[in-house]
Amino acid sequence: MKKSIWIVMALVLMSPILWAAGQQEIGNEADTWPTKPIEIVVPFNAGGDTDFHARTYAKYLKDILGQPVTIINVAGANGGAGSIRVKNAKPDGYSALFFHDSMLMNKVVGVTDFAHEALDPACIGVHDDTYILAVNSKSTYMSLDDLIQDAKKHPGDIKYASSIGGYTYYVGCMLEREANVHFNIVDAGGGSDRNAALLAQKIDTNVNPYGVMKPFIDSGDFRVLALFSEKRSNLFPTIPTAKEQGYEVIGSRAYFLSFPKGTDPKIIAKMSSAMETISKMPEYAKDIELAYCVEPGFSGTEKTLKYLDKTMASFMADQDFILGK
Amino acid sequence: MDNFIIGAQAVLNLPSILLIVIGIITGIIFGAIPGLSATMAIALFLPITYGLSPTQGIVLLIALYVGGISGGLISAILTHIPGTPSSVATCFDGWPLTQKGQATKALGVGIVFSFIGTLFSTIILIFLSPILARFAIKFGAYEYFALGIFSLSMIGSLSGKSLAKGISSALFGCMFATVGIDMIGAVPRFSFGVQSMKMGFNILPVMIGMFAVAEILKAAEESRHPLQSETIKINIKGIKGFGFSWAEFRSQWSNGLYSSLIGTGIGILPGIGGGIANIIAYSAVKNKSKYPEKFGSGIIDGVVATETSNNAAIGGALVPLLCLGIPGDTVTAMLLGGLTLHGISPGPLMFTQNVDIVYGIFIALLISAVLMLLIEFYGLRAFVALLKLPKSTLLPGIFIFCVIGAFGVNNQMFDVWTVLLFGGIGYFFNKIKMPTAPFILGFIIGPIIEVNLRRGLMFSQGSFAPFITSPIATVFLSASLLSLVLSGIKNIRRKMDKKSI
Amino acid sequence: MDYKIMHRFKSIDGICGIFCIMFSIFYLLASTNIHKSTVVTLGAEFMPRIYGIVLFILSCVQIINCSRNIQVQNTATEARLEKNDKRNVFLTFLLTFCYLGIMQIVGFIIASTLYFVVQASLLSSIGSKRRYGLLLLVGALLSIGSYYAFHTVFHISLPSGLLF
Repeated sequence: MKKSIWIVMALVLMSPILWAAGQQEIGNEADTWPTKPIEIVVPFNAGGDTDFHARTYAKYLKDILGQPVTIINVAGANGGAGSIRVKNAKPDGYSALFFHDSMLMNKVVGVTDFAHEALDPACIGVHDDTYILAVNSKSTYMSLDDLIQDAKKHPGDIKYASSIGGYTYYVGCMLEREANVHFNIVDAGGGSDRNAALLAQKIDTNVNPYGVMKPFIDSGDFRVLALFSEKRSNLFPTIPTAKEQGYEVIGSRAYFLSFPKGTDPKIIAKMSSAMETISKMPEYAKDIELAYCVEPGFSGTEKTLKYLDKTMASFMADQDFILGK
Repeated sequence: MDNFIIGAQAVLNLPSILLIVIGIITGIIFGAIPGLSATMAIALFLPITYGLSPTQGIVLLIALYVGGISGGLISAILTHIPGTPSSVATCFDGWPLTQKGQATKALGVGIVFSFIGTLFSTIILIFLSPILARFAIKFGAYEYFALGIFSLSMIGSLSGKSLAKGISSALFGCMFATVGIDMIGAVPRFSFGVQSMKMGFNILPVMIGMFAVAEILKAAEESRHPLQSETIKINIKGIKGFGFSWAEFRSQWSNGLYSSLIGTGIGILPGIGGGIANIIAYSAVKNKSKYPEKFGSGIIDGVVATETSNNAAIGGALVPLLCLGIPGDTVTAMLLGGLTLHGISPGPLMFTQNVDIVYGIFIALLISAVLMLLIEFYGLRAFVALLKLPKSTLLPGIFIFCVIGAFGVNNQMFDVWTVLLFGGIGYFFNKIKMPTAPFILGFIIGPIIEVNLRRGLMFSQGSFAPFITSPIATVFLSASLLSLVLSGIKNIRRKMDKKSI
Repeated sequence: MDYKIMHRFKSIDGICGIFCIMFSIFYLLASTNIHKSTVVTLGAEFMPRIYGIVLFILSCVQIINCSRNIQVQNTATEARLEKNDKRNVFLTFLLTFCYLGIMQIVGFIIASTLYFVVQASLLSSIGSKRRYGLLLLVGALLSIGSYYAFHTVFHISLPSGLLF
């Protein structure tokens, strides 16, 4: 009986000390971050483009932040599974999500009921502005205009590969609207399936980032008709933009990092500036050029939020379009 | 020939050989433990390979792949629980062989023919891949639909006595596969508002549930009886070599060849792989056999069919990957990512630009096949000794790994609950004598048929004509019609024989 | 109704057929919730409808088939055995259910260890001696070992729960 009273008293006396120490920790957290390994969730299986860009950053972040950054792959529901996981994680700066525009698309289509507003976006790690339109080299189309003219002559015939509710579907709708034509938009599976389909000439055109089709462009099997970007790429400058051919259609994919809502803004700023530093490194530029033929393109926290809000607004405005109504 | 030397130079060094050995052993362990699979092994080791050189990374993954697919036979034969989805059909004859006291023979046959399957498809890969790859891409929506229909027509040989039940079982499989978000329309189906249901069911938890949990429930039903022995009696003494005779080997020659062709062919087609190959090869071999009624009672033909085909699918899946950069199955999709991260883009130019990687892969496959054969040969007696463990400790231990494996699919508890759900379903199916093999077939093939039917109609804008005008599709559709008619005739004949007795 | 006909439907095939009919009806009803799309030629609700209808037809076929066959009756001893064992099956199922439910609260390691001990006891035959100490040790080692192997080496985060 006596022993327990002493123990209770000891605990009571200790508690203010413990409490103070705890306060100290919380106060210092943002300043000392990171003190342990950081986990970045990639909401797809290892080996894809999202995974690649996350890992490339992680490689360089280790030296800048002083702590290892591990990538964990949480696949499912077109990125929904990983997004939910980070949304529900502790906002202590040690878990983050690396995803792209499909996160917004998921909400529009109904796969998830939230988008970037449920998280604290930190920055855009890389802008992939290399959406191109390609045809099989054996086809008679030599320019985007050839394709459009043919589409006008045979409305609903030209097979454009995409999937309902995907980003390339949206790009296709934009092109249809801009050129005032009607394609036969067909589902031909994911990136590599569509490459196979175009190779076998089962589809007439394919739209995807340059990197996805690169092996076939290099081998001469595909011919690129247009680049859906503001200006030509430095990495493949011979390809004209759709804009300069008279069709203003811009496609882009922004890979951005987000923390759970409520994360200390100081931590977000630290991560953002670390990634900005990396994006300016020549070795980093070489890595992403080699693998995906992309140029570095970083955006800070404020610009990121503006971009995401704007993109979300334009997706929502075209929601009926996207859902195929 | 010079290419081989380049490849050999890249691979025949101590670190790489060591990695292959580690890969094979780890692969076999992952493959043998139900719940963990070859796919999981590759997914887990992929990030580790990023720190290695491209050649080292890829040979490790190849070794894991070969070991993993092959390892599944161990638990399939010894415990009636497939170690990986590629060994589901190995249970059908492997387990009865164990029950007859011939576990060593079953394992020996499985190991040797896994080796033969790998070897066969690797040779095809080395010499015929460019031609085969260009042929494989001719398979579009119409052709895949027809192939799917053809695969389903195999239900007949998997249905046992009642064709109606067999088809019903396959339909159940198709129906459970529809749960989730529709791939084409992005519309949720049967989710009942629950977010996790929107992701649908994954084949791994489904398979674990139907086989592992169902087995545990069956053990629970039988084990309390005092007469039931806790372990299986095996005679290990006096087994020479692989446990089966030269004469038996010779008798399986044609089965092995047939299954290798089926496995390689299925592997080459992007989108389908070993998971389907073993079931289809089993049905095909059973159909062409002179004694189909013996299948399921414990004959080595059954094990030969499944283990040859699932390993042959490995080489097959690498054909479109190396020639065109198009993955043949989920594992090769990850290999593709692994190569991309190292700055290598598989595609039409790979054979000229990255000869060392390509031929390095060939040599790694051959070395892996041989190592797998040796390691499993020496491990044969150890595997059989595992049977000495009482079921009461073996099964709960297996289930714990099943939980890890199921959780590892998508890092969510939902998949683990799926295991329990399908365990209940599997047990119920056993009780009402509904065959489970057609369910698995329907679960995997159902989505393929549906997606390609709808895609095909999008391509043809509503017309069914291209489904029949495409030569490949016509071949498969006619073959399925033929197969159904033949099994129908066999069924009627059997019933008439019964009546006349 | 004739008692003999009722008895025929009670057979295994009869139960199977009835289950199939009920499931197909439930499935078809649930498929009405699927949103119909206007863009795609065949919507998301098409194949489910086909599956449901074909299963319904087949279950009728099954019931007709079973009403034709005469089932062999179980012997009395088999019936007694079955009743006893079904309890164990139910317990195992319940145990597994609890195991998965507890996992998120107490964590993978503790839950798995407990599961291992209880399940092994349920599965051992009535006569044999249960060595709880050994089972506890093996279960704990297995759970701890696999947790750390998968957590540290492979970064799969198994549920950690309140404790560990």
